[in-house]
Amino acid sequence: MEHLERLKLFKLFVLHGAGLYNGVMNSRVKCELCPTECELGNYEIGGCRVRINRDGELFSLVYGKPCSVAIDPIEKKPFFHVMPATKSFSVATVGCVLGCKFCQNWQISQGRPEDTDSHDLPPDDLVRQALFYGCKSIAYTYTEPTVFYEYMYDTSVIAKKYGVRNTVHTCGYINEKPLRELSKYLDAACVDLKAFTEDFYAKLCGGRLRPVLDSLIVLREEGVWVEITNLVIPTHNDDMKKISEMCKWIIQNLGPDVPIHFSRFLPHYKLNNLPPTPFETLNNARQTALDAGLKYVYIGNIRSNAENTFCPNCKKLLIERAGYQVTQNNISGGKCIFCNATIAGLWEA
Amino acid sequence: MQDNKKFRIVAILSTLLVIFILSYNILQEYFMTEIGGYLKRRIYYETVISKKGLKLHDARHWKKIEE
Amino acid sequence: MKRLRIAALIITIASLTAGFFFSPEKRIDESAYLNEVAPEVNFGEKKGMPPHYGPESGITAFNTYDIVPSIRGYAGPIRLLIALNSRGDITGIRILEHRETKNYVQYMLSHEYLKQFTGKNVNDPFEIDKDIDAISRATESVQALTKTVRESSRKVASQVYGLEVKGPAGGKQSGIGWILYLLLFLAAVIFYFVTRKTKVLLRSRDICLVPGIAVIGVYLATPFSILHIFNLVLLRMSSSALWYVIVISALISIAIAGRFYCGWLCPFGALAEFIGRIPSRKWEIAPETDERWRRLKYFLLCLITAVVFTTRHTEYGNYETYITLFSFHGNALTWSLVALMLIINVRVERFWCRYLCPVAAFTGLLSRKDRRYISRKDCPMANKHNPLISECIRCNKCYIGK
Repeated sequence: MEHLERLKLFKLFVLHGAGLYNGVMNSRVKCELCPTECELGNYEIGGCRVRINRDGELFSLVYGKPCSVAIDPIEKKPFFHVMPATKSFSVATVGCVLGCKFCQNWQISQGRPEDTDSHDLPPDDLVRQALFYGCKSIAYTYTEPTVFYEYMYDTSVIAKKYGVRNTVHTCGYINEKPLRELSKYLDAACVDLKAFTEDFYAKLCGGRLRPVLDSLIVLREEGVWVEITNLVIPTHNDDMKKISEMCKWIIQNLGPDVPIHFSRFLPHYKLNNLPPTPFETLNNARQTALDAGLKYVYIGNIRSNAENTFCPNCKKLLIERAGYQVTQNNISGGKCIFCNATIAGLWEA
Repeated sequence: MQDNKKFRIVAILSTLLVIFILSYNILQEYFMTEIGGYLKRRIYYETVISKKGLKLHDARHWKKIEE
Repeated sequence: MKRLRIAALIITIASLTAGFFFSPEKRIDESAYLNEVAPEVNFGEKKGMPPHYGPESGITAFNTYDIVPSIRGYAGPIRLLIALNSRGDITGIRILEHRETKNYVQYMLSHEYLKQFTGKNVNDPFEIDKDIDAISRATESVQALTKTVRESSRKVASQVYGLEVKGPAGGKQSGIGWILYLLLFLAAVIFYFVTRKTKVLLRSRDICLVPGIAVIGVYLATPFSILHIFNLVLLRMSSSALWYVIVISALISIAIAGRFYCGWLCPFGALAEFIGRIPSRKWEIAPETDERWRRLKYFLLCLITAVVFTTRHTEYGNYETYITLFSFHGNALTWSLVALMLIINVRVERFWCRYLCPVAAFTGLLSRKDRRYISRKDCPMANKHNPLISECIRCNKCYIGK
């Protein structure tokens, strides 16, 4: 009897104690969403600041809680080859998988969900609102949509059902499997290819280049329309040799039809000791890309002739833009109305 | 005899202190940081995050789809 | 006594052997990379205090974890192997082990990043965004890395090469410390032998104890501790002269007069004794209770010996009050022990020395028999008549000559 009692006590304290310890302390979870692959202890929040491990289960803190909701022209994303002159229902939550020192939206991208005001907007309401305001597409943008993957995924499924297109503006820092899963519902992606050196990604963004390139290839394979944005930052990634290398890589792996936007850098966040990018640099980059063989090269964040789309065949003006406003559109049925050459893109709403 | 009793109490107390000090020496590196970190995170969660009214949504959805 | 000695010896040997098998000091791992941080230099064994390799042909190498184990990154200490030349320039660096989030610190671990440290002098500022590149999202890790490199190399530069360094690196290793200690020790030895001849000079013990508190305790802050012996057994010798003076003088004093150190030099013992002299009623403790509890210190010594030698972490065995008190470094637990051990002297003479002190246990175990100490009523250790010699601190009050 006494022996049995002791055994009970032993079980209670030693075995259950160990179990409790394991349950509370050792319930580590690896988040496999982005290539950072944080290993989170119990109640630890990931580097994106929006994903938490609670007792061995991973939870998203921002599902249905966007901090920014707006209706923008799709050109603002920037998508120049996707349904021009339509409205896009843009949505973002706080959080980002990277930590770029030049972030334009760092107040929200580097914020925490508990410190930021957010709306209540479940996926079905989001789609309803997009339809109500006559938006042809939903854009997951501003911050990094990877961090609100579940929210984005569920919304995309509903949106697709109602014929609303899904577009993302992403840094491409996401693992292959979740990206492939999402790509089934994705129509267009604008990927920030921030630079073409691992060094830049490591020092300024806290990430790596390789996964971004892999994501671009996956998006291409899954048949998602891809546009590339490259923010040209003086002294950090304005080396024309690297830009040429990058363009060659794009042509080889994604094809020459991929539009590329060279964006002008303006001092933000932690990188405010640099001057804005001179137009000359951007123009040089554009020329380098054209020389490499890319067909559609644009310059963003600054007004110029390089915001317009020209037919790669007959060189005539196809789409004239003034800022995010389309003032002329000479594409019909995805073809140049002058020479009937096919222009790559998602032209029909 | 009363003195003897008092002495014994002090002796036991100081022995316990020494044992605590030794166990703290050994355990702090492995457990204190872990338990301390856990408590800090737990308190932050309970006092800040859970008060914000953020609902937790399963974030392994895509993994389940994959499987 | 004999049984205790044998038991202590067996425990020492057993735990040393166990430690040899269970917690090898990763010496093998480190030495495999020595080549990388200092090519074409042949280092011998790691030695000294702080533990380091060399200096061979003007270069010394060290594991930062041996020097600054308390600096932690996001998830734990970052262990590096660093090579330092005699001018205090870092000539090679390599990360041995870390527990940071892998994908945040990938760049930090790369050769491109680490090479910015090579060529830097220990007195360079080592400040992030000034002379060290920051890495986005790895701020905490980079800070810990930089601090580890800065603090450890400064410490080694000052203690191995004797260079002048910025910041609190060296501790009190200044030149005359060892001379002061040696003079004090010699004076105490002389007075010890004189008081054995004549009772007139018995007060001279206080003349030694007061400077003991002032010099060994307050000024040098390095009372003889059982950790000295542990380091000696583990062959972790310091390069400072003071360390050698302390250890050698302690060993000599044990050989000639057992617990001489306790009675004539120990600053904590002195404090305890002075507090005990406050006229107040002392508790009457039954002799058998007293005797039983006095064995406690041997048990504690065996316990910490086993722990320290098995784990090879000398800091695990540290509960000594004089370390806390004089180095002014401790936590709530150790400080409460100090307070208790000081106050209790009002009721029980030299409580700490009688029941708990590991140095007392160590010196007691090695005391040679001497029947000429018969103990009197005013024994500072409250020993009974004809006590065990391991309980005698040689104050010479009761010494009966031949």
